[in-house]
Amino acid sequence: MQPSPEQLEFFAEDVSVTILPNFSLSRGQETAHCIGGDYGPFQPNFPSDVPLWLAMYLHRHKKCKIEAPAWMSIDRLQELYDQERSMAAVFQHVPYHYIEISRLLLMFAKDSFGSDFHRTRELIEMIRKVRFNKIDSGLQMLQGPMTVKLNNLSAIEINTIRPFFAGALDRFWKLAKMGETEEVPRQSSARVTQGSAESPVRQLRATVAA
Amino acid sequence: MLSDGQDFYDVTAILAGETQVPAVVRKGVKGLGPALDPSCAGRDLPANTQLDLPMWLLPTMAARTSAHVMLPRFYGEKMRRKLQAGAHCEDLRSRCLYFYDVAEALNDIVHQPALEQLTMMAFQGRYRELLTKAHTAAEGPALTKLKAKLTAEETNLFAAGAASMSAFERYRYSTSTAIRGPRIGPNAQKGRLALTRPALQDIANQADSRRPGNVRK
Repeated sequence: MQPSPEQLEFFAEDVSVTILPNFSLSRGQETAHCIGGDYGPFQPNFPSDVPLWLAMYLHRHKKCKIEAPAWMSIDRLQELYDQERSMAAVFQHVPYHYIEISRLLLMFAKDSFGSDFHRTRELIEMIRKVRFNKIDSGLQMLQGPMTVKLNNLSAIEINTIRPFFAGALDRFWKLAKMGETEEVPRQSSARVTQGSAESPVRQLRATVAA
Repeated sequence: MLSDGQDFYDVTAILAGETQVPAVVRKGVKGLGPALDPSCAGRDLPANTQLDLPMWLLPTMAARTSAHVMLPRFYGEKMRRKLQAGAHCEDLRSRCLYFYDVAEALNDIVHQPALEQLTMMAFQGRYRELLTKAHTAAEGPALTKLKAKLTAEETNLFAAGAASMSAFERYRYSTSTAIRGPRIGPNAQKGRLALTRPALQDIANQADSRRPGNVRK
């Protein structure tokens, strides 16, 4: 059973992001102790790296401002989009959870992007579409049980094609295997019953009473 | 298929095993004439009778050389020419619902390279032209027409691709981040998201009904 997109988003929330807190913890308590680790220290306007789930929690309670990751800047996204379009056979390197992270930040931390919000969302959507088109055209190239390189695919992209891709490769493998069966005499191949059908008849020994 | 026992409880293998395959019974069968061949006049089936037998029966009979198995028409030369002309146009569903599984099982009995070539050619063509549309095809008459041509194995593959894509689309357009808990179970009452309003009402009614003389209307 493959994970759902919501479960992948749960994993994506462990990605580290930078926040600018507007609070400080009480004296003597430098960091926040959580099951996943210690985060902090938190001082107003001093950047701190925390996992995305904690950043969203603090942001929801108006305790911090989330800084947009460097890869989500307009220039970087535009460059990425151009490279994706120019190289049809190669997937550019993007963060493994780029769809989930961008969805969460664009939905719940709009203020992190300011006036670039709409352009950022549009560019990420364009990049996603280009990559999915590449995946579709790549799937059409499949002609047998071959080894396929899937470099730089993101979690959701892999998850989306997994059942179809694995099922198609399985079927190709089964069909190719049909041609590799060992040569056995025609019309006598069932392994279970072949032995019983052709085993020599066992002669009963005559016992002589003493 | 069923002969190796590994898929004994597999419903797909059982249904595929019901496919009728032409065969010639080399030895006579006593007492089972009408059961195997409804057109049989007597009680016994004479030797060298040609009839259609279910696929599940054939591995055992072939191994004991009591039947000569022939390829069904949908694996024949005419079908090969049709598939060469355009595998995606052919309605394999109406020919044989389990086209590939039956071919795989038959291959263990008849060992004909042409069978492997035919099924591989069919799947390659149909995969490229029909199945790769699983991620992009929109609901409509065209999709219904496409699905009507697919065999059971192809339908499963197509449905798997379409389901994963629709799950992603649903996620993309959803505005919630909460992973919903089960409606029943030990943690059901902790997260209100997990329970719908009618379910909460049911729980309240059940709690009230346990108290004598206090029934909520």
